[in-house]
Amino acid sequence: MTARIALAGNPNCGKTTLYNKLVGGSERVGNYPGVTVELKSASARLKGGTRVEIYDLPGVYSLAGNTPEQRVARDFLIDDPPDAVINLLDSGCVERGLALTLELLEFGIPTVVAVGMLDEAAKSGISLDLTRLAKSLGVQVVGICAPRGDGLDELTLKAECLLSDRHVRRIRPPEVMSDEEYIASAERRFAEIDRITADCLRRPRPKPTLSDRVDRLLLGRFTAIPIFVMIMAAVFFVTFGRFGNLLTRALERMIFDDFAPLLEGWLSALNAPELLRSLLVDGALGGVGGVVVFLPQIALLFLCLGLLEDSGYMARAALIADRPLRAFGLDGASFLPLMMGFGCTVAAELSSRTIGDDRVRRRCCAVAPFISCAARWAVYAVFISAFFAAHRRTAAIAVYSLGIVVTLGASAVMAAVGGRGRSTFLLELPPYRAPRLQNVAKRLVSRVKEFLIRAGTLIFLMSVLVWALGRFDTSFHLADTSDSVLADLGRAIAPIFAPLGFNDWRAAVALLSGLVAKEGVVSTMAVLYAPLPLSEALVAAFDPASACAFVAFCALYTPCVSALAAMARELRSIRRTAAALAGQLVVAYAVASVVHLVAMWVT
Amino acid sequence: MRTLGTLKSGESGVVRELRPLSPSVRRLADMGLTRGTKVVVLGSAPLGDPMILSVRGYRLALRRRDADSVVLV
Repeated sequence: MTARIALAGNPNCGKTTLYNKLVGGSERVGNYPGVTVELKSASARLKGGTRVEIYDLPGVYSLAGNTPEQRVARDFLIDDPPDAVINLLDSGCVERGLALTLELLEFGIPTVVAVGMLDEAAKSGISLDLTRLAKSLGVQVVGICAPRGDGLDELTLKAECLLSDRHVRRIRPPEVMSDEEYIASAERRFAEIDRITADCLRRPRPKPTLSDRVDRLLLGRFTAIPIFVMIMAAVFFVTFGRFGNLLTRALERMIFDDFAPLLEGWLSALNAPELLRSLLVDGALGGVGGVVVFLPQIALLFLCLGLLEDSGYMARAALIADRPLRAFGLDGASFLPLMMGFGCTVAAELSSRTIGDDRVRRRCCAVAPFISCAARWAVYAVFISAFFAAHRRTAAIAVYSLGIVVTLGASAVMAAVGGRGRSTFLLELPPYRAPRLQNVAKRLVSRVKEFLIRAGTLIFLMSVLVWALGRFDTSFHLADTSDSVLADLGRAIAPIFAPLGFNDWRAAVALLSGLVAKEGVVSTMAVLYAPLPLSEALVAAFDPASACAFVAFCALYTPCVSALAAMARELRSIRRTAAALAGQLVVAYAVASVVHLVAMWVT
Repeated sequence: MRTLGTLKSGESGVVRELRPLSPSVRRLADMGLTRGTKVVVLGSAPLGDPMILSVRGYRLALRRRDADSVVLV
C-alpha cells in the first residue's frame, strides 16, 4: 500500500505552493471516498525513492470548529489517519500557526513541521530559532522556501523517516466541548505557544509594512470605495465587455461556421443515415457547442478573480463589502461566491465554503443561484436582439440588476424570517503579494474543469434527450416535432405560464429543458421554431411584455441540475435544498408575473 | 469594563477574557485572541466597521460587535 502524507496548515500560509512543488503537475481532484467534499491528492516520488500519495488538506486555523473545511480536515485525520503529516507554518505569524500544530500533535500522527516564508520574515526583522522550536515541540522542524525549492529535499527526507514507523493508530475523536471548555483549551494552547515562542521567536516592535502603506490607499476612508468599484468594474469590463465578447464570437464561429459544416461533410461522405446526421449535428454539437462558447468569458472572470485572490486584494474587498452585505443577512466572505456566480453557479456554491458563519453560508448557498450566470446570457441575448435591439445596454443592465436585487432581497427575507441571530465575521488580511501564476492557473483550471465536465456530460445527454423526444411520438414512431412526446409535455404545462403572457408549448418545453441546463433554453427553442430563424420566430410567438416575463423567469428559476446538485452538497440537507428549489420556482414565477404586469402597463 | 470594540484607531489593549461565552466567540479564541494577548487597532473598513487589528504578528479584521465580546484588562 502506498504511504499517505497529509499537508496541513493555515489558510494563506503558502500550502498550495508547497503542494504544487511536491507533486509537480500530477494533481487530480476527486471525491475522496466517504467524504462528500473533495480533497486534493496526488502521487509523488520523494527524495529517498518512496512513492507516496500526498493529500492537501483545506487551510484551517483550528481542527475543532464547525466550518465545512474544518470538518473535512478533521474527518480525514480521524477516519482515515495518514501515515505522516507535514505541517506548514508561515514564519510571519508563527503563533497562530502553532495553535494548529499543537492540535495536530494531540492527534498523535507523526508530524514534521516546515517553516516557510523565512526570507519574507527576515526582511521584516523576525528571527526564529528552528533548533529551539524543534526541541520545544519534540518534532523535526525544517526551514523551507517553497517557491525556490529550498529545503524541500530535507523536508521530504524527514517525512520519509516518519513513514518507517507505520503501525495502526487509533485516534480518539475529540469530545464534544462546551463553550467554556473550548475557550479553556484554546487558552491552554496559546499559553503553551507563548512559552515556546518566548524561547525561539524574536519579533521587532511592529512598524508599518509596505502592505500597510498600500492598505492606507486601498482601504483609505475616501479612496477605498472608489478603488473597489473601479476594480470590480474593470473585472466586468474585461469579462463581459468587448474583449470577452470577441473571444466568445470567435469560438462560436469556429464551432458553428467551421466545424459544423465539416462534420456534416464527413457524415455525408460516410453515407451516414439522415437521422444520425441530425442527431450528431443538431442534437449533440448544437447542445454542447452552445455551452462551450461561454467558456472564454467564464475563464476570464475566474482568472480575474483568481488574480485578485492571490494578490491579497480579495480579502480587502470582503472587508469593504461586509458592511453593505450585512444589511441583507450576508457578510464580507459572501462577496467572492456571489461574484463567481456571474460566471457559473456551481463554482459559486463551491466557493461558499470559505464563509465562516454557518447561517450566512447556508443563506448564501440558497440565494447565489439568483445571480445571472454566463449561461443565462444566451437567453437574454436572443431576446434582447429580437425585442430591444435599440436598447441593448439598458436591457442587459436591467436583467442583471434584477438578479442582484432578488439575491439580496431573498437573503434579507431569509435572515428576517429565520431569526437574524448573531453572525460573526472574522477575516485575516494577508500581506499583499505578486500573484503566483502557477497557483492562479491551477485554481483556474480546476474551476473551469467543473464547468466543462458539466457541458460534456449532463448537457450532452440533455441535448440528445431533447432531440429524441422532439423526433418521436408516444408510440416510438418518427414524427413531426409538433406531434412528438416533447410537444405533448409542453402542451400539458404551457397553461401554467398563461398569466405570464406566453401560453405556448414550445416556450414551456424550452423552460423544461432549462431545468437541466439554462443554455438549453435557447438551443431547444432554435430546434422547435426551426426552420424559422429564432429572432423572427420569437417576435411572432411573444409580445414585448411576455418576452420580458420570459426573460425574468429564466433569470431567476433554478439554473441547472448541476447547480442544484452543488447546492445540495453544500447545504448538506435534502429539506433545505428542496426548500431552496421551491423558493426559486415561486420567486421566479412571482417576479415574472409582476414584470409582465408592469411591462403591459408601460407598453 | 473596557472591550476591544470601544477602541479607536491607534489604541491598544491586552485581552482579559472572552465574554459572554457563545459558539461564535470560539472563533475569536481560534484566531489567538486569548488572555494576555496584546492587540493594536490599525484602522477600519471605509464605512467604520469592521475594524482592523494587529494581533500576534498578523492582521485580523472583525466586526465591532464581535469585538465587544473581547474584554480588555
